[in-house]
Order: sequence, then structure tokens, then C-alpha cells
Amino acid sequence: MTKEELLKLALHCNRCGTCRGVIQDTTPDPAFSTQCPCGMTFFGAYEPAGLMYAARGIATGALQWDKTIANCLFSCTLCGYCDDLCSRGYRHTPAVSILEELRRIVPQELKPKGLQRPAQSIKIPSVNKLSILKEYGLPDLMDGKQAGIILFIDRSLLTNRTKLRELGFLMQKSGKRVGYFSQNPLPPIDTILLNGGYQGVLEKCIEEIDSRLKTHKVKQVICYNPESLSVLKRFSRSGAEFIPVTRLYAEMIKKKPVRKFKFPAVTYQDPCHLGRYAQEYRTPREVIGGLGLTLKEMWRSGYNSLCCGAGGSMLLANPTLARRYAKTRLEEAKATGAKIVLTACPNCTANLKLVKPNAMKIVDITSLMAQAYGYKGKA
Amino acid sequence: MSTGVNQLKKIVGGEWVRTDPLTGYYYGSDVMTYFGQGAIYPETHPLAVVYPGSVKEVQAIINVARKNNIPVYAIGGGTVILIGSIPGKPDCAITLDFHRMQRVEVDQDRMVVRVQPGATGIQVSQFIRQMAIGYRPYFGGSPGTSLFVPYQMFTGQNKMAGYQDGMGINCVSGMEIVLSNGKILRTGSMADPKSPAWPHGPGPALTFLPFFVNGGYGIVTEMEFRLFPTPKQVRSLWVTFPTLDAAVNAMYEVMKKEYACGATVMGPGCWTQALYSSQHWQEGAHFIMATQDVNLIGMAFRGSDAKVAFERRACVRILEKYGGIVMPEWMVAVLDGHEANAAGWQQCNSPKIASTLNGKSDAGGIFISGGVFDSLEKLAEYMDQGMKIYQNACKENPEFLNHPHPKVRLYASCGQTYLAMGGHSNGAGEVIFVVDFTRREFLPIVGAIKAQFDNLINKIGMAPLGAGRDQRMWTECPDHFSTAKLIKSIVDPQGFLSPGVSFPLEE
Amino acid sequence: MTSFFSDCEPIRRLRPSSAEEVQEIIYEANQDGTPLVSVSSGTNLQDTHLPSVKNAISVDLSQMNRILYLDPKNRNAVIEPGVTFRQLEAACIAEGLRTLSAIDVPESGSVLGTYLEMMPLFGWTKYHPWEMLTMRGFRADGKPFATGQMAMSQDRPDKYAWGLSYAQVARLFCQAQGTLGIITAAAVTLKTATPENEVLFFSCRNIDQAMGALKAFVATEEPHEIFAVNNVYLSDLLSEKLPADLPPWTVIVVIRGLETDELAYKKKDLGSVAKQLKGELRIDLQGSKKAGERILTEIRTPGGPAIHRREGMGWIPVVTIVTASQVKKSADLFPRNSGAILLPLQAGGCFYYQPDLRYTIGEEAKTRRKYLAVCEKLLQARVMFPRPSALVAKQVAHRYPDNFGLLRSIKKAVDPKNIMNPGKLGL
Repeated sequence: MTKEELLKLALHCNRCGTCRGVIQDTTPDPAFSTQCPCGMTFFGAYEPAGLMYAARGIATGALQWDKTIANCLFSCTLCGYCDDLCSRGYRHTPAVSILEELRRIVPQELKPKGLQRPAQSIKIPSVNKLSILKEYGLPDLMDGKQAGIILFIDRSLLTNRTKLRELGFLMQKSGKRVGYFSQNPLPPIDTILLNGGYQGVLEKCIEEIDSRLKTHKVKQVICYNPESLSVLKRFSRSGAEFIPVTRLYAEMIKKKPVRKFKFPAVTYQDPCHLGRYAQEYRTPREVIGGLGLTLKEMWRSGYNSLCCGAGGSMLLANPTLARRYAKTRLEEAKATGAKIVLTACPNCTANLKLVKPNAMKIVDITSLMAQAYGYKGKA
Repeated sequence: MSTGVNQLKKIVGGEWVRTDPLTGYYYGSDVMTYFGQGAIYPETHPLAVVYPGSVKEVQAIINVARKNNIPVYAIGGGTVILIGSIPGKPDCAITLDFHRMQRVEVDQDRMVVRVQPGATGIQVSQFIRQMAIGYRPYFGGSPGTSLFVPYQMFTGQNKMAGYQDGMGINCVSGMEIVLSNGKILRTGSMADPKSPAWPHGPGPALTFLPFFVNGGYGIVTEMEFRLFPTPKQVRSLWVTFPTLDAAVNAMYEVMKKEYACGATVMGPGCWTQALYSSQHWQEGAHFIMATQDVNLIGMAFRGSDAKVAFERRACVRILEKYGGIVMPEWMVAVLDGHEANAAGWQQCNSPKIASTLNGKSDAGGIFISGGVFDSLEKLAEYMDQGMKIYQNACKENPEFLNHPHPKVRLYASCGQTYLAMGGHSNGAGEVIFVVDFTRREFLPIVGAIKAQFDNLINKIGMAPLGAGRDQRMWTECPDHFSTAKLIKSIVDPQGFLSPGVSFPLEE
Repeated sequence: MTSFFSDCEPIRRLRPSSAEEVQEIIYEANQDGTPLVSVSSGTNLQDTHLPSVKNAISVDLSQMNRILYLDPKNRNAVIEPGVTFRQLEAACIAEGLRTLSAIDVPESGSVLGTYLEMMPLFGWTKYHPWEMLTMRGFRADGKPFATGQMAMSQDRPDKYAWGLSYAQVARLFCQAQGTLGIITAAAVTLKTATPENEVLFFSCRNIDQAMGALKAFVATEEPHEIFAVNNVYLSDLLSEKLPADLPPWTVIVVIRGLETDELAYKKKDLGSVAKQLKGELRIDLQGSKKAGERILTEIRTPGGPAIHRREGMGWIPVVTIVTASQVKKSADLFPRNSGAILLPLQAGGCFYYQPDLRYTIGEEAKTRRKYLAVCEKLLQARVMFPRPSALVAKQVAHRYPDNFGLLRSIKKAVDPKNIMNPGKLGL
């Protein structure tokens, strides 16, 4: 993007402040009417309009990069609420594109330390646990096997034995032939590269992914991590269909009902990259319903969902702030009366668990699905 | 000033005093300053933005400001800060941002809601809506607007219920104000926790002290305003007219018969209704394009099913008598957001008027004449003559019209009938012209058109709105202004509250 | 005792016939510090037009009685202070309009004076207290004062818009009891006269039920006027003795319209509300013929204090604004022979409550003590006195020190010689 292009986009914002709040009929507490984790925590220039003004100032030269602007920028979780809401009726200020561009052009030394090494984020450890998937019969495309559908291995899965077991188990149960790449996994991208402003590196990863998907004639890619899903959906030109794992779960339950859980009421955290970015709100709820659970929605749910605080790679950039945001979200979860928060994103799970709320359990939908289908391993 | 800043940090905490360039930039400019009002209202940055968390902190801040002679400005939602929150003096002022003060409490016995300045209209709406009560919200602004803005800054007109209930000023029952001496004044229903929800008295009501003075008489830190039971039904009616005169005459008959709870008369290009009500800005923009030659009356009815049906039927008869054509339901759909407004809740809209209507970001729609009050027939006269001014400007600059997106397009003025400052009988309202232009080099032409509108306002003698930097109150209403200045000298002898905004800067 | 509320009389009465003469009077008074007290009709029920100090001159504005502009299209009128309700109503009739009358203010009362002092209007529940539009006159220091469009120089008669800026200024003279200056003209609102009018009655066994009923009926937004009265007050209104078994409170609902269909649906709607309240809305009142007609007449042309002062009795209203929870406690402070009227305001969030004290002529001093005692108790219960009489002004001011501190500063600024109705309002 040139500076002129950045300015043109930033000028869409007329600071109406709509994105500060949630547009819905009622709320039991005015505190649950606010939006934008950084905006509602720090106000002022930390709000979406403030960041758009930062873009305007940088583009026109009225502002020079400094620590404060960088701080504002990296306090944002890129949850996409402002962009989504604006496009739903107002001006369509493409806030996400603007913010990603700002992250691209911010001087390297002003980036948070955790986001200064892009290579780390796509590094495949020499020892990973992907071979676990073989135990569940998933065909390894590196062995020359064919599979029109693959499971995308993101960064969070590479060494996560438990999750790989659960997923392998579920892929097996799905009745579909779901493959994977083992020794030479696809670049395990999620949003870190975008969040860190390494669009160039991301492009190269996407090129490789696209090439290998074409080569192996992969038609569908199942993504466990919504961040990977949303990045692949946005940038891949492979022609493959990228679907969230919850959609697969919903299909499975529809085909064959499973054991119902007798839990107290649950609530559900819509992951930003599954919900707003990938527009997938229905299937996780179908899964929850299919598992026999009573869902008590938070007031900010669906496209109004409040970010858990882990977005924008906050767990790397500023884990203290991520926890602060998570605390706010858990207050609302508690207010529903539910005892369990279900999530469908490893970052949501990790961040909400970090807060260690009293009497609230954070559970990944994948784990529950696995249990429902008879998985006996650790969940 | 650095002593002052350090003292402020001690009061609110370091993280709540910001002096960085981004903050200054953000609080010193808005879409109006950028798009064209910049010639009149240039960017003016505060030196520091302070975020108080309580009325005690506000008092302490005011004391520091007074002792150090630091000008203080207050900001609501910051959605359009041109009106009064841009500092009148550059690089030396504090702007108070109240987002940390967002408390909302409802007292159903006294039928009031008590709100701090950081709360937005949408927050209050959502909270009270589940209690089956409503208030009389500002129809426009945006969900991000501080509730205080419409009740203090703007007329807070709720055109779809304003006819019955008036404006923000008619709905406020009490205030908590921090004066320039740091003391707290509580008025009307807030004078005492058990006070009835009545703004007037004892004696002359001080509740109206802060209205339209943009913080110049004191900083409001809490406000109570009245609530209403939610009506059983609300319906709107939209009727087009071939001429504005016909619409105005029809409206007069409706008003005389005291039907409807709110109504508005619009000239060609009925932009406000569409933009404030439509779900998507394109929907609104298309509506505007389609109504370029249309004059429109929009009104709302509320109450029991029988009342709504009776009044609506009666109004259809009246309006059709004057040549009105009732709009089909599918067209009304784009406007039906107003019904939520009439029922007593904030509309989910935004100030789309302050941006381009053609989807281009390098252009803007700006008020070039706005907020002038008078009776309906005078508004119609003004609208009529204003359109002629625009047409002449187009004749002299034919390149405006010979373009796929006309470079300068005037959208309708809007005469709204509501209980302006008093009577049902008074069909007063405000008129606004908006120009949509596609390139900034057309600003001089827009400015020339504005100058002519201003002359016209002067000739007719329409009362100024007086918001923000409209200096007409200073120059055209001397016997009103002189007493206002006298009160200013009492409540803010040092003149450090909002200097240059609602009162001229002293030389 | 010149009157119940005042021990002083003016030493002289001046009768200006123009605004210029008023300004001259004020200038002269400022020269030698002569107290002035303005009067239009003296019907504000608390005699605030009588001085609280000796040697005051009364500025009688009754000769300034021109209707300067009647605007039937916009339903407003610009009037001088001497214009009475009778006079304005007569001018309105021809145009199909009517004035908004005030509780207990007779038709000889000044319209401008009544509205300026914010005396409660029967129409307040529907039309809210915004009958004053713009005004002009002179501050106590003699400088001209005007609000909004009235302050503009254009030569046109229809200047109704406040201008909104400095709203405080626009309302400053309201409820000021003439302590800040003299208003010589004002624009006021008029309403449409309706051919169809009906009065409905709802009996209540106590004041709580009356308040609940008021709130419920008001919520429909269908009554034009609605208030509740106890039997003593009701008997005054109807000029007749009422049956002993009539429930102690009656809610009076007036519905109006331009056609009978309008009244029909209103009666039905309000009837449903009455049913939900487990009562009945009646078109007649038990034991009283033509009660409805009498009520309509009272609203159109109130009889004023005269209807309450019968058989050698004096009548003193206590003017308050109360919350629902304050009403019952307040009512208990008054003897059984007190009348009372209750007007719902702000959708029933508060009420204009006017109980009264009745006494035998000759017992003024004793009654004054009673009045002071009862007002003190009301003040302790945090009841609001929007227009405190001269007898209780200091106590009221004491309860609102910050408000009255500021008002005193404003008073000092506009009236440095303290000539304008000194001693009123505790200023």
C-alpha cells in the first residue's frame, strides 16, 4: 500500500464511535455494551477511530512513529469487530487492512519483542509429534499417499500430543479420508506474520502452501486453528476450500448423533477468526446443541462477540495485557450463570485459562467432541 | 504547564494523562476540520488529555487548571468535536475525556435515569429497553455519541417523538456540575437524593446552566433525565409531496390537530431520514438519490393500537388532501429505524452526513448551513431560497452537473417540527443544508454558497443554534448575550472553562 | 399583616404604559435605591407581588395590556404583562384556539405573570412546562434583557425561538418572583380548541390509589388534563356539598378531540386501564349533577382562590413538587378540612401537590404559625418548594445552599443595588 492509498482508506473513518459499542436491543449491564478490547480499556487514541487517525497522521506526515503510536497499535487484538460492524451498515472503513498495513510499516525497533522474529513463528521444530496422526490412520501425503482432504497443522499443534491425539481420533471417526503432511509439514501459518507486519514472509508461505496443495491435488483443508483458517481463506489462491474443524464436527453429529453430556449450562466464546473473519457462527452452536449442552449466550456473542484478548498475537506481544482483556471477557461469561466456557480456538483456550477464573472451566470443543465419540485418552 | 501536568498525573494516575502527539492529533481534529470546515475551525491540539474517574477527580483537575490558568475543554463521545471540544486555544489546554465515568442507574420510582458523561446513548438504551421504559433520545448522532452531547450540546431533538416531548433540554431533570471554583452544584432532581424529578427550582432553575455552553459554565459530571413507559405500539408514516409549500401547509394542519408524536418536513434529497435510519449506508444513499425531487413528511404515532390507528388514519386524510402520496411499505423499510426512536430508544445510526454520499473517501458531506431555528413557514422560505442559491451556483459552475458523480450536490435542508423550546404550536425546528462534494478543491465554491446562506439567515432573522463556534449568538442577540456574559463572569471569572468556544476569546 | 404572606405594603403605585417607562422607573430606582416590586395581576397565590420590605414602590403593569401579535398559524401570541386570561381567551376563540389555564388562577390573572412564575397549568401533564417561549424586558440594573429571537433586531413580530445558547439565560426570569428584573413582553403558546370534550371520573379510596391511577392513565398519553383531588377540593370545584360516602379521592380525566370517534377510542382505552386498576371510569360523579360541565368550566376559566374561600374562611395553598413516596407522608400533615390537588408530571415520576390550610378569618397569625410548622416538616422530608413564599424562602434557601449561593451571585450581578423585590426567594 502506498501512503496515498493508506490515507484514502483511513479517511473513510468519520469517528462516529459506533464501533465502541454493541448494536443490540438490550443488555443487563451497560458495561456489556462496550466493544474493542483496547478501546474500552484505554480509551482515546486506543479506540478504533484513534488508530485510524494514527494511520491518517502517518500517511500525511502529520505524525511520526513513536512508542505511543506503536503501543496503541500493538494493544489492538485485531479482533475485526470495528471492520465488521462498519461494513455492516456504516462507512466500511477497512480497519483490519489499515491496521495490518500500519503493522507492516511500523519501524522494527518499535515492535514488541515477541513479534520481532518472524522466522520463529513458522519454524518447524526438528522433533514434532505429527507421527501421532499416523496411529489414527491418517494418510501421510509425504509417503505418496493421496487424500483430497487434509488436516492443516498450525503452530499450536506441532508439539501438542494431546490435541493431535484428539484430532486424529476425530478424523478417524469422521469417516472421511483426511491426510496430512508429516516430515515436511506445510508452513504452520496463523496470524503472527500479519500481526507482526511480515506480509512478505506470509506471501512466500502462502506460495509454498498453494503449490503443494495443487501438487497433491488437495481440495479441502480442515483447520483446527481459526487463525490459520482465516489467513488461508484470505490469501490462498489454490482453489482449495478451507473449512473450520467445527463444520466437520457438525456434519458428524448430524450423520450420527452421539452421547449427550449432562453438564450444567455452558457459554461459548466465539473466536474472532472463526466468527468475524470466517463468518462461522452456526456450526459451533450446532455442535454444542448436538452434544446435549444448554448454551447460555453471553450478551456480546456472535458477530458482537468480544475478543478474549489473545488476538493480534497478544500472547506473544504483551501477555499481561492479554490477561487483562481476558479478565473482562470472563466477567461477562460468569454473568450468564454458566460454569463452563467452551471455545473453538487454541489461543482463546490458552488465554482464558491464564486468568485462572474461580469456578469457571475453559474447555475446547474438540476435547468434548472426542469424549463424546469415546476417546479415552487425556482430554 | 509541566507542573500542571505532573499535578494532574498525581490526581488521576500517570496512564490517564496523555500528552503524546497522537493524542493531541486525535483530540484536535475531526472529519469536519479535515473536510472543509478547516478554514473556519482549524486543527487545534490540546496539550494534554485527562481521563478523570470520578467527580472528585474532576474537582481536583479544575482546581489545578484554575491555579495554573490552564484552559479546560470537555469532550463527550468525540464523534464530532468541531462543535465544542476542539480547544479554542492551541497547545495549552486540557481536554477532559469522561470515558472512565460510564455509570448508568435507573430509578423507576422517580422515572429518571442517572448517567455519567462517558455513557453513550446506546448503552443507556439497551439497559432501559429491557425494563420496558424509554427516554427521548437524540435521533441522530451515533451510538458512539455521549449521551450528554444531545442533552447539552445539541438540541437533542427526537424528531419522531419530539413533537410530543421536545428536545433534550425538555427532558433533563437535574445536573451535577463542577464549577470553576471546584465546588459541586447539584440542581433540580439531583439537588437531593430524594428530590422529585423536576428541573425547575426552587426559584429560577439552574438545571439549564450548562446547556449549549460547551462546558463554559461548568463541567457536568452527572445528569438525570426523565423516562417514559414504553408505548404499546409505534408506527411511522411517510408521505411525499410535489412541493414544499404543500408539505408545510399539510404539516400545519396536522400540528393544529395535535396528532402524531413527532414529525419532520424535508425538502428535496431527503438525506437525514435515510441516513439516520437505514441499516446500511448504501441503502440510505440510494434513497437519497431516488428522492432528489421529492419533498417528504415523516411522522410517528405511539400509544394504544386504537390511538395509533386513529391518528395515522386522520393524518393520511389530511396529508392526501394537500396532494401527499403515502409511500409504499417497501420504501418505508429503509426509514423504519425511526420507530425505535419514537418508542424511546437510541437509533442505531451514525453521522453519515459527515461523510461522502458517493462512497469516495476523498470527499465529504458537510453542513454548510445548519441548526437555525424558526417557525415552519420561515424554514420553508429558507429552504426554498437556499435551493435557488444552489441552483444559481450550479448555473455559474456548470462542470458540477456534467459528471457521473456530480461534484457538488446539495442535499435537502430539513425542517423538523418538534416541540422546539416550547409549544406544540410552535412549528419550529432546524434547517440544515448538506453539500456532498467529490474533491476538496471545490471547497471555495461550497464556501461561497455558505456565505449566501448565512446572509439569508440574517435577513430572515432565524435564531442561531449557537452550538460550538456559531458566533451568531454573540453578534446578533446582544440583549441575550450580555446577560450570558454576566453569568459567565460569575461562574467562571477567570475565563478558563472552554475559552473561545461559547464565548469569544478575550483580547 | 397586609396579607397572609406579607406584612408590608407598597408606599406608592406606578402604572407604566410602555416598556420605555418601565426602564425609566428602574433607572430612577437604581439612583436612590428604592425597592421595586412588580405586579401584573397579583394572582400568584402567594402574594409575591407584595413587598417584603418597607418603602417599596409597586410597578403595576396591568396597563400594559396589549396583545402585540396573535399568530393563529403557529398558535402563539406575543403579549404584554397586563394581558389577562379572559382577554387572551376572547381573542383565541375567534381563531379556534384556547389558552392554557393555571390551577386556581382566575381569568383576571395575568397570562405572562402566571407563566413566568411557572404556576402549574392544568395542561402540564400533556404539554409540559414550556409555555413561555421568548421574552424581553429589563434587568434590575436597567439594562435591556431579551432571549433568543426576541434579542434579534429584525423587524418581525414572530420571534419565538430561544436560540438555545445560554439556555440558563432563557429561563433565568422564570420562577424568579420579580427579583431579577421586569419582563415587558413575552411570546407564549396557545392550543387548539376542541369541539368534543368529556370529563371522566375515577374514585379512589386513598391517595396511594389516586397516585397509581394517575400514573396508569398518564401512561396512555390520552388525557388532555388529568389530576386528582380530595373531596374538600372537589366540593370547591363543583360548588356543592358531596355525599358523605363518596370515596375520599377522585381522579379527574379530561379527554378532548376534534371528532367523536376520537373520544370514543380514548374512553375505551382509559376504560381498560380503569378495569385493570379494579375500578371504573364514569362519565358522572355520584351525587353531583353536571360535574363534568363544571370541571370543564373550571379548567377553561378557573374560579381562583374565591372558590375555596367560603363562609368566612381563609385559604392558603402550600405549593410543592413531590415524589410518590413523599405524597402520603405529606398528606398526613394536613388536617381533615384541607383540600388538595395532585397533578402528575414527568410520566408520574413526580407530582405537583398542593394541599391547603383553611382557617377562620381572624386567625391569620395562628395559621401562619401552622403554615410555617407544616412547611418545615415538608422541607425535612425533602419535599421541593419550587416557588417558595416569602414566609419560607429563607428556610428553602438554607436547604439548597449551593444553588442559592449561585443565585445570590447572579442577583448581585444583575441587581447591585438590590432594588428588585428585595427579601424574596431568600436571595
